[in-house]
Amino acid sequence: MDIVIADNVEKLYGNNQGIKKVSLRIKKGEFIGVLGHSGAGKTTLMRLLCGAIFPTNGSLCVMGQEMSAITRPELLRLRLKIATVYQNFNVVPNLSVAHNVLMGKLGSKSLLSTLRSLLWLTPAETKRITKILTSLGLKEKFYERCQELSGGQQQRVAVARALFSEAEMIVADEPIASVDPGTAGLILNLFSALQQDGTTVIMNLHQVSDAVKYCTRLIALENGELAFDGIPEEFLNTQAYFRLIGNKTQELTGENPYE
Amino acid sequence: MNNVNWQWKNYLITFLFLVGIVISGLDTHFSLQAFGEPSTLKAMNRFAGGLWPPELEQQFLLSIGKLLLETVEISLLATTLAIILAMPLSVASMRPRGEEFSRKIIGSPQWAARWAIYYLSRSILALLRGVPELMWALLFVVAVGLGPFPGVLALTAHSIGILGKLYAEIFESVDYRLIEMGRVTGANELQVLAFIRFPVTLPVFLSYTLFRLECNMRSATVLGFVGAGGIGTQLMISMKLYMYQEVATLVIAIFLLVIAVELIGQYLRTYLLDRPQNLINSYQIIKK
Repeated sequence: MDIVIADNVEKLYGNNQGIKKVSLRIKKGEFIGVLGHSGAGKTTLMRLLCGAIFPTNGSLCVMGQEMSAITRPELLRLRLKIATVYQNFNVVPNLSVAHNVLMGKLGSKSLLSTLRSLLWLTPAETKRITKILTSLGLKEKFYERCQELSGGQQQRVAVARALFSEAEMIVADEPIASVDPGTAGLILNLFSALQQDGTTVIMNLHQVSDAVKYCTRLIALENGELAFDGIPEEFLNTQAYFRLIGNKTQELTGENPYE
Repeated sequence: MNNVNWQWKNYLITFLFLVGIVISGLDTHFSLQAFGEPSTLKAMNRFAGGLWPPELEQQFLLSIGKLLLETVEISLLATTLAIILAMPLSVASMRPRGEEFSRKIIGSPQWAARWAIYYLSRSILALLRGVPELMWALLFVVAVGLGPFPGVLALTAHSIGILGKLYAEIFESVDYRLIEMGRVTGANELQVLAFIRFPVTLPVFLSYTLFRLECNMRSATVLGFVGAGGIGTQLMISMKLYMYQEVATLVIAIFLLVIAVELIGQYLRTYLLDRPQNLINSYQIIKK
């Protein structure tokens, strides 16, 4: 079953082209790594997939919902089924870790229950949040305000929020760009485990080795265009890969460092 | 455009400003000689001499105490009402930002309605803010009669206009990327307000609100001039009856009140702003 169907999707920011005529299909349960240089359109693609922005041209269908013809209630319902981890501005600095995690399911709450949860967490909520924070090694930070955490810990809180939301699809924009290798491995393993349970994971990253190790499929973007779409093993032999890591490596050593 | 031309323009603008200031002085009968005229000196002497000693009769002090309390009550109630009413208006007068509120995505009727609400609430706030407190007080005295109640209404009306605009602006100022992060979780705009906009701007929110309380306290002291309650009523009566000793006591009382409000405001601000977790994580204390 295709969870995302993109047909010649274009996204323009004024006169700047974010994405040019991208067509792809994503099946349920895939773990997709999106690679590309900075400014290649990776973040634009992520924001399109989670419904933060909308295509200028072309058709984008997420979970059977045509994005250009979506109504507001449909949009809110769709976003509940998608968890998003951004690169920056991922946590509310003045709120506690628990409240930041709770935000993952905010959309399913009534307004009254939202206000209640700001003052008081139910035992069920506390239990679930504790469980998730424990899996990420943040249990003792439950009540701490996010601005007191380190960058890597904040990123883990964002991942905890994604886990809490029990979404069908996780869209992660460089979740391991600013964390130490240990945390990166922890996050990737968690995403991997979710994918085993049937969750679709789409993330972009710069670490080709991690992408090859964890992802079931790789997508490479170049200047807003699709340069590669296939299994990780194939990617290492393509021109797109060498352009990504820089031609010099190939010119100097004449070999592929990942083979 | 050469430099000589520019210099001429600067001289001309400066000259016009100076002419404007001189004309304003003439039109407002500004005169340093007025202080030296014998009749003025005599009047000032009588007024200043009359101020001392301040009236300290027990009955009078007691009534001043009551009026001071009334002044504090008027401003406290008015500020509270203003906060409650300014919040929904500020939410309505936040500029709708983001692609999900573009005409293409939400459709023309909703788009038009959203912007209509925006301009309507902005206009309401501008109207409430544009009319000064004393004028509101005059209107409400006519509408509901003399006493502190029209004073409360007057301060509330003016404060809604000011707080509503300030709240809307500080809520808008939250980094858009943070708002987007909240929106993509599926939260609606009110939930984004409760979980992101409000907590992030809480220090500024408190600062503005406490400042408004201070302003209201000062304004409440003059509301009595138009019969809208508070200590101003007594001040005007004493002035009109040439009871300058009473005026002296009243001025000192008002001065002390303003100082006290200033000190309390300063204490509250440092208490809340230096340690915002006092407020945000209040449940933490309950639980531990």
